Amino acid sequence: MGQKKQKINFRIFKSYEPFKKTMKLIILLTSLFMTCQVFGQNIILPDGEYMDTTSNTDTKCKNYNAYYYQVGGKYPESSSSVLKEVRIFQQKKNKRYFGSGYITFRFTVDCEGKVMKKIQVMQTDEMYKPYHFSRDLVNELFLFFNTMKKWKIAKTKQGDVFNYFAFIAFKINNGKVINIIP
Amino acid sequence: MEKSLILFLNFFVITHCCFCQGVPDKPYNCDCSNKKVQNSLIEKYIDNGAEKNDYNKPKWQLYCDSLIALCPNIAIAYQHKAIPFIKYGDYAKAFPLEDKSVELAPKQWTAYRGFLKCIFTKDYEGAILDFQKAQQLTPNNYEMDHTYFFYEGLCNLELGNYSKAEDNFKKDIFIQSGGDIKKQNRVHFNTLLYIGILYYEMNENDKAKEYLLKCLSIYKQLPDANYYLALVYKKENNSELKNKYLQIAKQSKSQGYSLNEGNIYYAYYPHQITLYEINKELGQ
Repeated sequence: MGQKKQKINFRIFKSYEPFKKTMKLIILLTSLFMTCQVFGQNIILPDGEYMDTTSNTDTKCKNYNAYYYQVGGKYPESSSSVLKEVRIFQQKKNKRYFGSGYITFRFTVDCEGKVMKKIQVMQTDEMYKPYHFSRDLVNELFLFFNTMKKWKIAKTKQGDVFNYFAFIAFKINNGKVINIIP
Repeated sequence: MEKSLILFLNFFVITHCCFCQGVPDKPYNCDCSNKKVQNSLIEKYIDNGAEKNDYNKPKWQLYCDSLIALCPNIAIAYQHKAIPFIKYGDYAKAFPLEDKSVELAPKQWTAYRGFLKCIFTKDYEGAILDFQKAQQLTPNNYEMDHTYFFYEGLCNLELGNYSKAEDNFKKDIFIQSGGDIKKQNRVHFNTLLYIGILYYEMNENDKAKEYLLKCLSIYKQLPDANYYLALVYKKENNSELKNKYLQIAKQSKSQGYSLNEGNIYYAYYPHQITLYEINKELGQ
């Protein structure tokens, strides 16, 4: 009886090694995922390219299909202030890129002033023809975009808050951001 | 897709079948080279069509597409079709349409495309080329309330071509005043603002103050003029006047005063400031 019990324990001990390896792998993959999830996945669909997901999370916010220009929703810092910030952000990354044109993120700001999922990315060259910059540059600008947290909360005259569509475009010259739109 | 196509065809037939009259055997055959036909089509499809709708709604595109299908040589159809794209950052869709409108009617749309490049996409080199071309096509004309030289001045200011910008703004003033020095006090306050900003950037403080104060004599609440005047006083280490004008800028901005340009809702103008920059200078 005692021998049998020992044998079983031995089996458990033997099967622990692959379990440990699997766990290590899971932890490694999870931490990798945690560090990567801020980067865009660049999902390409017939209606465009997206940085995160193509399904919009349903919020309790009202939606009147409003645009940023109908609600005074330009980012509340001037283009030159945002440009300074993006340059500081990029200096820390210290990477060199190439190409000239525009990288644009289009998104919805919800009734709490937060950017919702389903962020579209559009890229053109300086002649406004479709183009693709280095994916690292797009991801770097997307990381910067995620630091922009001052989006206006849109309200009706009665004080009801609602969603609105907005965008931000980075004008690139030889791999460097030289201006911010709008 | 199929649904949109059916909708488009229905719309196309309904809206124009009774319109291009005079050729009963070929109801869709319009004389597109005839100016009168063009104007009547524009009245029907643009003035009383697209413009009666929200440009973000499908009907706007349907009216423009119908007009293009009828007469592909009418420039305004392409320009109108591009409006929602330019305002929502879809440049790959907007600019081929703008280019088409310029190709069809360069005198009418070259300066407009330059304006879009200057204010919307901040493509200053491209805008300068368009305004220089526009100046050849329709000399000393205006776009969105300003002369071509005003926009060229903005572009050169942003590119750091200060002496060129100075020359542009002088020409802008000359056109506005018709070359009459006595009428120079009628110059647009934003011309004065940008000359003031230009001299601020050039470290010519006295001239900067002169133009910014002239600007404020017309529009005393203009936050941007008060802000840049404060920056001039900051350069001169005059903290009292610096703070005075920053406070005016802050108050005016909080009360909703701004550059007073029709397109500031869509994009920031060059050197335009917000409450954030004012507060930053005030150390708040």
